[in-house]
Amino acid sequence: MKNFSLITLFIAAAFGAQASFADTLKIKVDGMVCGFCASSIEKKMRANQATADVYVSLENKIVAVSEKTGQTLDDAVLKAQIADSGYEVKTIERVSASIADVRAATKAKKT
Amino acid sequence: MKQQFLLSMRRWQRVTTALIAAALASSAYAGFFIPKDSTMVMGMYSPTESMFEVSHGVTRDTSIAVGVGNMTDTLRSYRWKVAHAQATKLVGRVYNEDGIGNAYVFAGPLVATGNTFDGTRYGVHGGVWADYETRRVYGRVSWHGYKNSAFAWNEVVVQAMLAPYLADYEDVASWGGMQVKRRTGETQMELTPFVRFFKKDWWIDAGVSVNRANRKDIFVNVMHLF
Repeated sequence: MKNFSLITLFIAAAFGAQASFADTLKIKVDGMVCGFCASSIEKKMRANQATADVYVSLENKIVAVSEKTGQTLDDAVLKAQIADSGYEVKTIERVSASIADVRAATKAKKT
Repeated sequence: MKQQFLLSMRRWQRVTTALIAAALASSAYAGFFIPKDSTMVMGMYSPTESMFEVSHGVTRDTSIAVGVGNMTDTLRSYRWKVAHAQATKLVGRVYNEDGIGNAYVFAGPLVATGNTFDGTRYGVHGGVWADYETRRVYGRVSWHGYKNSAFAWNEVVVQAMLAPYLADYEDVASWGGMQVKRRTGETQMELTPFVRFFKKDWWIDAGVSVNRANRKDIFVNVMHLF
């Protein structure tokens, strides 16, 4: 029984640790003013296997990409993909927040 | 059974006719640059020009396209059908926090038939395109020329647009503006107030010309990015 509890605790801790690794990358992009043109960025970000969700804000010039649990997006790859779409990455910031949180924060900033 | 077959054939004829009609869009948009790995389908129609084009971005600064179109003048004195291929090269791009400016060159081979010459003529076409855009204003100037053994033809297009509100990525962006076009052989500049709407991978332009020669000429341009 004691062993079973220890295993349960271990599994819970492992899952908890994994959840904390599911980050969102906030990418500041210069020149992103047109939704039609920026849609190619969204498509590229969504095509990454490690991508869980994507949010684009022209207002704040950010592309937010959340990682699937247990998977990591490579900053250099994202930067290259955005450059291929014709834009320039200014900064990449890794935050412990969901896409919904980032979306809510940017919308709140707008109003 | 035979009647059903004939009805089905007629339906397909109508669909084919509609597709051919849609496949008549404008060199006013040839040269449009496509980001790497994206594909765009564009159809444009106006009474004097039409074109259908498929473009694909092959590298960060190069896209390729193939298209077919019709060209005529206001008096319908010539009618040319032109098929073209082209490569578009991004030659300059400037960024700032609120805007982006681009300069492109494009060129490629063409094949044409028409009522002012016999047979099929091969030639070249090409041009330059420069634009600047913020979320509030858009400006563009472009030149596009066609040359073969039967004709040399070119047009200059200037567009200026203003957005009445600042649309974000998930909103429908709306623009209003004016297109001024000058083409070889025309005595007047074609003035076309038009609106533009886009949301994510859909883009629609629609306008009605107001100068005397082209008055009431409607143009529609639809683009979709895959």
